Amino acid sequence: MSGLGVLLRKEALEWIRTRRLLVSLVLFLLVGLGSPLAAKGIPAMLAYIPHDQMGGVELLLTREPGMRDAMAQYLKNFNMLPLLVVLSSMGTIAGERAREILPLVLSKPVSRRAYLLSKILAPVAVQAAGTLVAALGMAVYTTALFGEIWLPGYAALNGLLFLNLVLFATCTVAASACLKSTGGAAAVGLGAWFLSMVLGGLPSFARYTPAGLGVLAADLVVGRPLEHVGWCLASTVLLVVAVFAWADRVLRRQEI
Amino acid sequence: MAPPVLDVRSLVHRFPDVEVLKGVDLCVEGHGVYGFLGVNGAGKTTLLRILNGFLIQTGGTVKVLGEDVGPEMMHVRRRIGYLPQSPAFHGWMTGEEVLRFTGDLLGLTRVETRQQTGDVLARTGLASAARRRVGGYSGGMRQRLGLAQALLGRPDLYLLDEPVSALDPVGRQEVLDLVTDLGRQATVFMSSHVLGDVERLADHVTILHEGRVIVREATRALRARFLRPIYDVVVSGDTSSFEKDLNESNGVGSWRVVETHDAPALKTLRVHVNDEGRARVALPGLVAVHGLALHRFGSTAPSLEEVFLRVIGSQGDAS
Repeated sequence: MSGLGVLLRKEALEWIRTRRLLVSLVLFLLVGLGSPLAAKGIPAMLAYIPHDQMGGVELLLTREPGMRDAMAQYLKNFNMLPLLVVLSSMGTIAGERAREILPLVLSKPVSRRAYLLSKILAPVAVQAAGTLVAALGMAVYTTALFGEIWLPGYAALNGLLFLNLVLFATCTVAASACLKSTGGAAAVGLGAWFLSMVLGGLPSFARYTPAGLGVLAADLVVGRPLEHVGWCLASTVLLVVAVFAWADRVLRRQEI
Repeated sequence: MAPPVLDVRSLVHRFPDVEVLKGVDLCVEGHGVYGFLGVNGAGKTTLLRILNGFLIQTGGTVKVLGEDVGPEMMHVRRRIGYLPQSPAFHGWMTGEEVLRFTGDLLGLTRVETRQQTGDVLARTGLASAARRRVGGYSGGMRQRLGLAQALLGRPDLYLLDEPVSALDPVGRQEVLDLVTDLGRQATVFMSSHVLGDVERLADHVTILHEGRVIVREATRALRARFLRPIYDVVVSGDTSSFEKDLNESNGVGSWRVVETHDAPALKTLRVHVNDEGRARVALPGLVAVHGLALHRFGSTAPSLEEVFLRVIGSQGDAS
């Protein structure tokens, strides 16, 4: 694909120079480190609140928090990261178009498909690195606080969460290409996030769709057996490919 | 035999609310500088965008360097240097990095990129600013950088959209010299609304008006074709009755007032005459009859601006 390697190198340099990479990795790390800390610390903090200041609520701590609580907290915190993905991807093509950078790049021997792919692969690579950073932070701190970590389940959880981010990045960048508007791309990304949450509330249906990634992740955390994993993964991969193909088709015919 | 550099036939382009190009025919062959003129909205930028494959035409055929244009014309893109009207870059890159990135996109080797980057930075007068971030460049520096990236890869065809519009007089002179130089080794197709620049540089002129090519000719031939003697009559006093008589005078084709800012009390009337011998005698007499003071009287060669205005004017009359 003509020019893909060059465009990817430029994207990498841009993420580093504009400090978006650093900010993203720090946020991922905060999610990783903050989750076991919250799992351990919140019940302890609540226990210190005097009874008469609890508004009549009776706090019953039936057990000490453990590794699974840290995973549950990690899942909750990680579910906010699609917002970061949408914010960092929404202007990736629409912004370059608005600033009129696009004509100079596409006047060179670069295919529009390579351009689009570089714009999707760059945030995906950052999310892969971010997920790894968050996962390592979480694993180390969870082991330190709770003395154990369920590695296979934990690795699978991170895989599902990463795939979820890939979906949001693809949708947002595709919208950035097709709608020619940063605001429009943000609306699509946030809409997809909202839709996945709504569908996630209907687990029996969501398991057959990309929204099932969240359901599977929740099942992993509580130790429920995973069902219809293949359907969920296949529908997610299919949707990513379909969105890319659609954006590629639109961009190839688009006026620059 | 090499195909024409640009071969445009019956080109039509329609936007939803307006037809911008209405059957453009254009053939550009060989090296040289080709000036591309037109009033605002004539369709110049639309044509340049189609030539770059940024816009797919509604009808007609367009070949650039022998290949059909389109979004994926990879091979031919290596041979085109394009400068948009307002070139924009990533502000976080330095000028040198922009050129390195461009060289990589063109598939140049590291050594070629390094050599050519040094060369084009020097030619465009950006060598001292090469390591500064583009975000801090002035408009003129960005235009120079735009030209520098167009020079990389030593293309066969340069498509330049208003290449000196953001430059100061010194910069303008330098870039125009550079464009003249490029025209000796390649084909330069340059749009501009500054007729003086085109007149100085271009061997050939194409005039686009209301979506159609109305003139496509060598600059010298065009001027010769429209060559009619012009007299500048510089007078002071009330010229209203003089102007009335001028309209009715037999030897006069047309005339207009030329703006003069250096001497506001004086008025310059540029008169196109049909019969030079009669006009040379009659015009000073007419000035005297109307009691005007004659400050200067002399003939002048028609500039491209005069030709352009007459061509556009005659099209307006025809329509």
